[in-house]
Amino acid sequence: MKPTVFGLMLISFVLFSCQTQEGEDKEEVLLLTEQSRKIECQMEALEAQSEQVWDKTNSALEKALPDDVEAYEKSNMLKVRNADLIRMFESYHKLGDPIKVKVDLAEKMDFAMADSMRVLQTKQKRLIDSVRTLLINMPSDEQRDVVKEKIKHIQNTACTKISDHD
Amino acid sequence: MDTIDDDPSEDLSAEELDFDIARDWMDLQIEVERFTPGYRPPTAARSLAYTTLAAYESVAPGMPSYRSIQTEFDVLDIPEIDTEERYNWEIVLNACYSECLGYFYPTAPTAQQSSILQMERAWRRLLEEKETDLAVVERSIERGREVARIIYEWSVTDEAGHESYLRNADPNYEPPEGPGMWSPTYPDFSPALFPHFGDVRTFAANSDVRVDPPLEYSEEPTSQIYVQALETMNMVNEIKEGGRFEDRWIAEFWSDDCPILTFTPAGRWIRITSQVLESDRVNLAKALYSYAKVGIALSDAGVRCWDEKYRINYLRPIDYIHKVMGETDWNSIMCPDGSGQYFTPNFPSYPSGHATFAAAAAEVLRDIYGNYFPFTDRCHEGRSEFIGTPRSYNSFEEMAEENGYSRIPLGVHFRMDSEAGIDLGRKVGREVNKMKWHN
Repeated sequence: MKPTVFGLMLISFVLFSCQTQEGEDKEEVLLLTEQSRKIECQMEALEAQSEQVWDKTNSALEKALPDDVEAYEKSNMLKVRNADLIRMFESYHKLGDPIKVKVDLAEKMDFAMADSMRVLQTKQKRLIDSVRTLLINMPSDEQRDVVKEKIKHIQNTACTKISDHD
Repeated sequence: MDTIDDDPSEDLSAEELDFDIARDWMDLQIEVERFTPGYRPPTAARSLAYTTLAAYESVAPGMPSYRSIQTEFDVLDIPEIDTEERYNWEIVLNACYSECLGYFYPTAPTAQQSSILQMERAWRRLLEEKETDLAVVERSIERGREVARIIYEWSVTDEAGHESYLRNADPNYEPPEGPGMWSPTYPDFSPALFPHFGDVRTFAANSDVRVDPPLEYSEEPTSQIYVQALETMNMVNEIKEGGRFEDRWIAEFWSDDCPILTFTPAGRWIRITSQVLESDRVNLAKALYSYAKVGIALSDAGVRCWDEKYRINYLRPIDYIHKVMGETDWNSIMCPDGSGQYFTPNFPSYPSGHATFAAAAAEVLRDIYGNYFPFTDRCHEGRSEFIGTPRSYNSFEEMAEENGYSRIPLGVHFRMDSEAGIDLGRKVGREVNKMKWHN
C-alpha cells in the first residue's frame, strides 16, 4: 500500500508538532529554572538585608551599652543577633527606650523578611517540581542531558547577572 | 555530606546508607529551636519528637529490620509505598525534614529560615546529582512531603501542644498557695512556664507514669527537706567561694538553661545521640530509629514531668533558703551566660526536668546501644563562656545520673527532685522501648 499525500502530510505534521512541543518544553524548563534562580537570589538578598539590619542594630546597641557592662556580657549580647535573646540580658533592661525601639524594629523587620522568605520558598518549590516534571516527560535522554547542563549553568549564574524583571 | 555508595541507581535500603543527612538536619533543628522564640524545654522536645517520627516513618519501608510504629497511634494513616517502584531514601528524608522544619518552626527568624533553605538545597543538589532517575526523585520527594504533612496534621489535633511555643505562660494561671508550694522566684519572678503542659498528648507514656510523693514539707531543721535545702545552699556557696571545681564543672556542663548560649536540655540529648551515631558509624536506618526513639522519649518526658510538677507544686530551693533558712541574699549560679543575672527556672521543682529528660533519653539509648557504652560528651567542647570541657562516661545511665545531679550544685533543685526525675524518666523510656519498633 502506497502512502497517500494526505498520509505523508499527517506524518510530517505529527513530527513537526512533536519537535515544536519538545522545543517549547525545553524553553519552558529553562524559563522556569531562570525564575527559580531569581527567587533564590531574592532569598539571598533577604538574608543579606537581615544581616544589614542586625549589623546596624548591633552597632547602635554597642554604643548604647554603658562602659560598666562586663566585656563578656557585651560580647555575648552582640553575638546573638536575635531580639528575643538580647532581651534576656540584664543590662538590656537598663538601656534607654530609643535603643529598645531599634531592637523591636529589627525584630519586626526580621520577622517580615522571614515571612517573605517562606512565601518565596513555596513558590520556588513549585517551580522546581514543574521543571522536574517537564524533564521527566522529555522524550530522550540526550535531550534531557542537554537541558540539564543548561539548568546547571543557570543555577550557577551569579545573582548580579540575573535580571530582576520577570 | 557523603553517602556510602556512589551508585544510587541501585536499590539501596536505608540500612546500606550513611546517616549524615539525618545528623545534619538534626544539628540544624536544635540550632533553629534555640533562636526561635518560645521553644522552651518541653515544647522544644515536642517538635523534636514529631520531626524524628516523620523522618522514621517516611523511610520505614526502606528499613528491613524496623517497622512503622503508626499502629501505636490509631488515627495515623500513612500510605504504603509502591513496592514495584524504587525510592531514594535520602531524597525522601531531605524533603521530609525540610517540610517538618517549615511546619514546626513557622516563626523561625530570617537567619535560621535561610539555614533551612540552604540545607535543603545543598542536600537536594548533591543527591539529585547522583540520582539519575528523575521519576525516582519525584516519587521520593512526594513520599517525604506526604509523610511530613500527615504527621504535622496529626500534631495539630493535639490542641494543648500545637503552637505551644506561642503560649509559654498563661496570664490566667494562679499557682495554688500554701506552705511549701511553688510561686514565682527571685530575682525575676517570671510567671509559671507551661502550667498546662501536662495536657499535651503523649506518644507512649500515659498519665499512670508518675513519681512517688515528694518529701513532706517541713520547716524543722531536723527534717529531711531542710537537710536537702542545706545541701543545695552549701554546695553553691562553696562553688561561689572557688571550691568544688568538679561540681561547678558538672553544673555548668549540663546546664543548657541558657538559650543565649546553648540548645535546650532536650536538644542536648539529640546532640548526644548524634555523637553516639558518629562514634558507632551506624547506618541511616539505625540513626533514624535512634533519633525517633530519643525524640519521642524526650517529648513524653517533658509532658509527664510538667504534669507532675504542677500536680505536686513543690517550691524551689531558693524559696526555702530565703524564707525558711533566712538567707535572703542567696542565689543560684544558673546560668553562666553572661546575661548578668542568675535565675531559678520558673516552674515547680519536683521532679527535675533535666533529670527526667536525661533518664528518658538514656533509657532508650541503653536499649539500643547496650548497658556498657564508653563515651565522651563533646557537646560543649571549646566553649569559653562556661566550663564545657568534655566529660567521659561508661554508660548512658551514668550520664543521666550526672545530668540529674548537676541541678543540685547549680542551686535550682533539691536532691529529691533529681532522684524523682531520674525515676520518672526511666519509666517514660521503658514505655517508649515497649513500642513495636522491629519486624
